[in-house]
Amino acid sequence: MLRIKGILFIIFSLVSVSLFAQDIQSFDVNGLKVIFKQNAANDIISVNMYFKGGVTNLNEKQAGLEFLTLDVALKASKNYPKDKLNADLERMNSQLSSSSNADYSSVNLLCVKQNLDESWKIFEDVILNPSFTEEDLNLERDKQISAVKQVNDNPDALLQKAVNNEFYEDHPYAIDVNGTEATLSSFKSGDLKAYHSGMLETSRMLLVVVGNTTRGELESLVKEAFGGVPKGSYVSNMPPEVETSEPSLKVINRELPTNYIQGTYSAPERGTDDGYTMLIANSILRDRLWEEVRTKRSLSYAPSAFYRSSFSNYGAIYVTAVNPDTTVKVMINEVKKMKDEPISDKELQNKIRQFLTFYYLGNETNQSQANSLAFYELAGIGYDQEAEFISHVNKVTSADIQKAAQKYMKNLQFVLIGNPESLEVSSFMY
Amino acid sequence: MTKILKIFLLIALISLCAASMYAQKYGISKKTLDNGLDVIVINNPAVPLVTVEIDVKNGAYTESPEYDGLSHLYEHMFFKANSKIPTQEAYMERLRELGATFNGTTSEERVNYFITAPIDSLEQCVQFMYDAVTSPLFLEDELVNERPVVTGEYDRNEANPYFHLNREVNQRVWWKYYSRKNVIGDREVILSTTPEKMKTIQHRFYIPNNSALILSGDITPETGFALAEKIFSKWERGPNPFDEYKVPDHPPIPKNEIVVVQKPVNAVTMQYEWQGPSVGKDPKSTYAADVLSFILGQQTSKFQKNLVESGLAFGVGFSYYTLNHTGPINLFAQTSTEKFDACQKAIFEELDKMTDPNYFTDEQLENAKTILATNEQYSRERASQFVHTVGFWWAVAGLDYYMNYIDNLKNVTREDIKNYLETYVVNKNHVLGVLVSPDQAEKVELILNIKKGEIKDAKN
Repeated sequence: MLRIKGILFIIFSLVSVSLFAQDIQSFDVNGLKVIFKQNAANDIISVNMYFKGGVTNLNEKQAGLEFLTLDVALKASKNYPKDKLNADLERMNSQLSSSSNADYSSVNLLCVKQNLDESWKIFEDVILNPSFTEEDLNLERDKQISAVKQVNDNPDALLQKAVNNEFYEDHPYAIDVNGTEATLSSFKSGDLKAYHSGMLETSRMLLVVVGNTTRGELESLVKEAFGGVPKGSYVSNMPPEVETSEPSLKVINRELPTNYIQGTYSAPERGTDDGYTMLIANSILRDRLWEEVRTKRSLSYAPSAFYRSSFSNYGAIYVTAVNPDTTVKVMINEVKKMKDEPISDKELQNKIRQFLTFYYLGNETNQSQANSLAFYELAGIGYDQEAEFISHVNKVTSADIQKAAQKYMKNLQFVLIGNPESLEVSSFMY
Repeated sequence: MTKILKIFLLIALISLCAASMYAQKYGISKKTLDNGLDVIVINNPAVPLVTVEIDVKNGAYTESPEYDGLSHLYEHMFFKANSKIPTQEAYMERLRELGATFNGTTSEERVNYFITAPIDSLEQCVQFMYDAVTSPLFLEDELVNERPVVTGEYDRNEANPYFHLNREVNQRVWWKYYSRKNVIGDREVILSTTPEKMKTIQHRFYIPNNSALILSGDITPETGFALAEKIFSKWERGPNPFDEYKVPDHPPIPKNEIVVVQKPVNAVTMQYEWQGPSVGKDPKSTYAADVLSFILGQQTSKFQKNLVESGLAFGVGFSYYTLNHTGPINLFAQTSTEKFDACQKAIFEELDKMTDPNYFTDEQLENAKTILATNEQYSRERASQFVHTVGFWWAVAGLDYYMNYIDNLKNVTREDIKNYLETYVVNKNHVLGVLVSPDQAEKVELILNIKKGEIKDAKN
């Protein structure tokens, strides 16, 4: 009886996923790849222009340049001086924003259907004709320098920055996409203009639109706006995987009420068989850490395990605890169990079922669907594979998980921020 | 017409009639069961999931000092043994079988619990929530185990410098009944609590006529109401907790105060706080408050131009948080030590000008209403999150307030905004908290004309 239920569930999952994926289309305008997913269920439209490369486009002195370029670009443009741009966006409540991560940047527009044409003109103009005034640069620079400094005020943000610095030493990701006080202070408006000019090649760009419009309408908007942008010959440089040969621990002393701890290990690329396996493995490990560290032993409020979503990845165990030695020993013991003991069929099937929920939760909004499609495409997995997520996850076996844990969950690179009364370094050496 | 087609049309007509009995805007439908439980169904079939949420009118506002933080501890205990599930481990196992994600939150005037799962787990999820809310066991060992987990959450809060700023300000704004605004609570109360206290909270507040069941996602009102009736109708009604355990009114702030909070931070943050309207007593001011906040948030506003575009502040915001037992009005600004003096003076200049007829344009007034309405539209896209919004409004202001919110915003006039400001902000006592690093505190204290470590009455 249970078996029949399981089969029915899998059929249900596959039917649901394929229905969900039916309206995704792709076309090309002068070298600009456009991915379009029609969603007539609501009137919201998400329009996103991605720029490839992220920190692989930058040298150390340019840290933060792509972020600041897009940030300032959105303040004013040739046909939309600052007050007009703000007034028009506020009148429609069309939301224009930019973001940058280690792998790519984007300019994002969120608007309702009736305001698409008018909002699109602003979107187009800030991408193609930003003003880059000295006044806007100085204001945004001051804000960004303050934000960069304030990373030190928040222990979680500081931990992630320290982990990045330690784990990605001598790697392109060592360049901070948000910049440093020194690099941000050095940029002139001419630097932003020159960098922006280099970004405008359709081979370096990707447009993803999800929402209630038609392909015909979108194609016409794209041709008119970006048909004249040079194609260029941009080729993405994928960052290499990190190799670690031995475990390590770095302690950053801070007067804090608890200790913030993360142990990080090299993990496979997303979209590969090992990548799907690692997603399941990490989720199972997270549940087990919750149970062993929080529920049974009350050692922490926030034990976790996760698998970073970038082109060069790591997996990690994370915790905040007043007793680091005891807590980390319990956590490492759970990592060992992942390697030594096969996952039961029941635990695996329950977890796969939970992934269906995660998948749909990640696809509730047009904006989140666009971001997901873009990640798959820019990572080289292919946007069409996004809809195959559940079928890939369904293939993961208990043996795959054990093998992946053995292959990847080793040489943990720990960072601890806090002031523990005592520290047994050997507890962290795994 | 074929017989099959006739039957099909008849079924469709019956469904249409049944649905229209409850049809409301935004895909929201509501029904109250005989035991007083409000059942709300939010139909959004975008993805094949359902979120099952229970909202309870509980939280800090119900807490006298000896219960300070126990609504929150209770929320943690919800995810543990009950009469159907013997241990927390079994509880988690059951959630995984359902393919569910889960969480709960506690705030000033609402506690909520929610699980999201594939739609084919709907009935099991509703049954699961029924068992959890009606029959918790509060096992002594589970309670003892959970205390350090909650204090671990407390430790994380205390590691955040803004937590200290907020606490110092709130202790002065809500000076007489601080426990009724202090969600995280008091460490000692948390560490010494007993299963009896948990049972007291359960019997007082966890009754159907003080709760709502909200089903959001790929679900029709008919299905949701039928399921709620089947599973939740046997939950026994109790006496209205607020008849016996009245929530006292917060007395006004007796004097203006400044408090300087020293933590190792890299910017100077100012938090001005006033006591604002209670939605039950003065709903009109709550609409005016929201419209004003969204006027002042516009980049074209004088508020943003004079404070942020001028370079005096990195960012500034003016907001009102809707509550039924006095909501706070906050003005946050962040600047550097060098610009602190000019920035704090400029803030008072802006406050002085806010009631001038020319302080904002007609266009900005209309924009604010558009922004609020469109933000609601954006938020409805995400069924698993929108359910929390609906639950919040149900608990704090009543569902009707939310259903008529956009219409009432449209009616807000300049006069309403002026009245709101004159009633709650202009020349009204407030508390100013300043968060600054220890090495810069002296400069800030000098500017504010206060001696080291002293808390000072402020000029308005």
